[in-house]
Amino acid sequence: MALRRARTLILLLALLVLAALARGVAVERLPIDYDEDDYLRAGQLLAEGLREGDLAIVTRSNYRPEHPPLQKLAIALAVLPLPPREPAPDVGTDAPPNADLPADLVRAARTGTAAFGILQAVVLGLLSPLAGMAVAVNSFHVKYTSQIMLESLPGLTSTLAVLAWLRWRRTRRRGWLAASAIALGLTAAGKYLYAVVGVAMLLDALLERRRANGRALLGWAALAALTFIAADPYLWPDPVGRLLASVFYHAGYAGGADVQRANFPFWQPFVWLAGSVPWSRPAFLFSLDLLINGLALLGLRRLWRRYRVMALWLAVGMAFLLVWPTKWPQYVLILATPIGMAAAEGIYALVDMLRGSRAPTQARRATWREGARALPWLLPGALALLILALLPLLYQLAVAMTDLSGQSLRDGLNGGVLRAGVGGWWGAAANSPFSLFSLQDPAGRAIETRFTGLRLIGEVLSGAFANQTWFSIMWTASSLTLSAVLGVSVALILNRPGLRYAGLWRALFVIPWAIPEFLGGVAWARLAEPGRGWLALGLGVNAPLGEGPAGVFLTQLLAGVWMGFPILMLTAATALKRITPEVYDSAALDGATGVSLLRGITLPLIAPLLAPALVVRGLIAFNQFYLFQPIGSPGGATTLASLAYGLAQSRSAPGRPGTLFAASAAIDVFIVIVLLIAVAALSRRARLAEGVGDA
Amino acid sequence: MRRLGARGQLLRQLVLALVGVFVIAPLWSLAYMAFDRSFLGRPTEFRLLPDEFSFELFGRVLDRAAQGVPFTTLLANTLVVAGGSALLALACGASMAYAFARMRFPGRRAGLFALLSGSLLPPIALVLPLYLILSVLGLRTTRLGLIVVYTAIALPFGVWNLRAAFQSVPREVEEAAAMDGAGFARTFVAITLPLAAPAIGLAAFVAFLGGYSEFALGWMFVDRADNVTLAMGLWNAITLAGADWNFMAAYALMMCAPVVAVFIALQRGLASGLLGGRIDV
Repeated sequence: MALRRARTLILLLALLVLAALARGVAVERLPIDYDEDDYLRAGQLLAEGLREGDLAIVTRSNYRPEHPPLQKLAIALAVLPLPPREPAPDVGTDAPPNADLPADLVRAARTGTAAFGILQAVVLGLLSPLAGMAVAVNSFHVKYTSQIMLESLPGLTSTLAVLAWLRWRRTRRRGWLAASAIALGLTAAGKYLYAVVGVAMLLDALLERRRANGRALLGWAALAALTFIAADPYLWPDPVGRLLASVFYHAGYAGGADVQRANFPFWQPFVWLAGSVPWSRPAFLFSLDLLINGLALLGLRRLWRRYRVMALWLAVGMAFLLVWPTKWPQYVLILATPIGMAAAEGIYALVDMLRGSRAPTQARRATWREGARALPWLLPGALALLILALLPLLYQLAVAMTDLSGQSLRDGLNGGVLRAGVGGWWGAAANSPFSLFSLQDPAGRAIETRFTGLRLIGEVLSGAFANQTWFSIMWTASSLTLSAVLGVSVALILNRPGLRYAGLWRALFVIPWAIPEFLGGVAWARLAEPGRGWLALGLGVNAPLGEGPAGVFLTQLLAGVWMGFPILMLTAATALKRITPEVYDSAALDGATGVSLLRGITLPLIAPLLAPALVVRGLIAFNQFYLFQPIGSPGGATTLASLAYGLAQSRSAPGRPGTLFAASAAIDVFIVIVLLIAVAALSRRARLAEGVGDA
Repeated sequence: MRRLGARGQLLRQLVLALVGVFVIAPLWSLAYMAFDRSFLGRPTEFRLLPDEFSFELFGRVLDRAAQGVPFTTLLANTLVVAGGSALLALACGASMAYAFARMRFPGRRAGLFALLSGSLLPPIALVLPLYLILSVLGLRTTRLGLIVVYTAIALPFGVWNLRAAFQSVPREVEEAAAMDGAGFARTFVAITLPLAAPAIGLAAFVAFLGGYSEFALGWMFVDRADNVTLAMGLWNAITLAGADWNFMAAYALMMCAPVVAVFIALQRGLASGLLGGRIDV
């Protein structure tokens, strides 16, 4: 017992050091950002009153009243011991960052803010040390809790609310429920957005369907509301008016010019999660976000089973962020805790997966004798693959470790790639300043090829191309799912005995498969282009196909499904033919009809044949490229493979520098790594080995 | 299963018609222009059918499809390049695919994994290394060079599809041949190849289609108008000429029509070739 306690203590201590180190560096190194002057001013104004013993200032002063004052009070307390200064000037929310703020005030306020961020990681560590680690190194969390922002306190209290909630669920002691309510009230008084955690807790209780919950929940909600009002003294003089004013401000702001100008697509929150903070990179000790969020994806199922309220928190929070028009990067902090928990579960899931016994797929053991017999059969193909696939892969790996560009192409092709990319490991070539985060930087280009090592691949991994990374995932998942749904549905309809013209329909439906991919793209671009496309001219309106990343995504998706569904339809049709009528007859005897027949009999029977086709289509979709050329891809709404092509092209477009072969190669290597992991995971999970033939 | 009643029939036909519109609409929005010479440049009005029906545009495409080169030259180039790369890919990969389908040798799983990883590379990744290799061989700007490039793209999935094709042949048939004294190679040539022919044909067709529609890599290697393929020429017509929409439509139609015809003719056989592709790495 004592040993365990000591271990926990050491872990928490390590967590504290880790979280504090990351934020300490960030406090010192981060440049002044938007809004920091506003909240410093808010704190200074409060501090002025407090210094003179005027406690009632808290009911009068709340600079930027759209946000409740609790964290501003904390900032005030942090700057209180320092000598008073002129408050930061009063400027609009869209004013550029104010670089002239007094350094000592900034440091004090930031440190005070960061303390709550550190605490959040440590407190979460009580429940799961791994989750605490994930929050400790989350770069968005590090950034926005180390600046004078309003995120750290509600982040901490929302975490506390859920921890107390989990305790209540386990012990059913009212005290824990009350603690959860109080923490929730404080959360709302810190920043409204973080109160989504309350919805998650409510849903968790409702899903439990326990009658005794009803009254307890009423009390919980009432206590949370009371705490909120108590912790928001600015409301006291005019509760309804001031509350409504602040709420309506956000509705107006979401439709306002600031948000319009940013013009983020609805999926932007996922883009933030597809990488680390892309700005002020020296301020961050860790950029593991993509890795951690990938683990979180892996751990979702376990999270749902073990900590349902956390999974609900993640779902409700994400749903809100997707719907809400304002999509500032700091908003993803409301998900930091549940993502950390999911990532921890993801690590356990990964360990399970690696430990799990391999399914015995091979009936006979491979022998060396058979190996010798197979060799001549393998040789021609192996040789061709070696030259045409493996060699290019290795060469790309070498290029990805250089700074090869159009300027250094001559040197690179004449041995520079090998000298720098391979020789660089032995210190034979000079290091290069080239970075994927500053593609326009001329210092990154030189006449001779230089060594960059693993930096470029690391930069892709830490989110240099977060837009396209997320888009590739979203594109693969959505186009594949929709193609499969349409393909299987059509196959089911065509498979119905007695259906007329089935052959004719099938002949029509396979046509898109035979059309060259980019031509299909041209056709869809012609059909759906806003303003002057066929549909727009015919209907007089653009809807539903629009401009901007999200509008074009719809066109891309329709085109992708159009090209993708025929092959899946054919595969499903062939698989359906193998199901004998007797299966349905006996199922009908058991009373299975309609949906239950589909879910219980048909889909499981065609799944083994459909799965390999889906995997291959998925690989193709992830690297899809020709389709995006004619349709276009505004705002980075394109796949990594398209980006790799664009960066390597000789013709560069505005905002898109060309002939960056090293950047392109780094993306290629990243793609191969991601897909290898995906294939390995899928082949274990989906039991793809159960096909036909020698099964 | 119950008989399909009149209402059920109608409902299903309606759904299928909807899917049919989805399939046809984008194609038609492009294709009708090929028969219409009522406008020049970009269409500014909505039309369901050509306003001034004419075949004139097809003649223009036949005459000078891209940069003054006639359509037939481009078609010949395309057939040589796409056909050549498909055949080369299958010839290189066939015996390997068969070994993966039927033999149990050490490192088989790792081999399949390596094969798959070859297909994970985006096509653009092949440009620099192949540029080097082909330059050394002096083939860089030739049609033979293009065949090599497209073979590299077609090979991994080609082997994959071929493996599926061989797996679709029942093992019992091969075992029976072996019982009659035929060796491994003899069984392969005399029994498996003919039986797997439809599926092999499909794999070949898929590989062919890749080369038939590729343009982006092509433009990075070819530098003479005589060596250009149909897809490359069409891409040129779209991006460079830009404005000439009915010409582009006629070109696209002439490029697609033969493939679609072959496809519809073969579609009954297609399905049998799709089965058996398994990933047991």
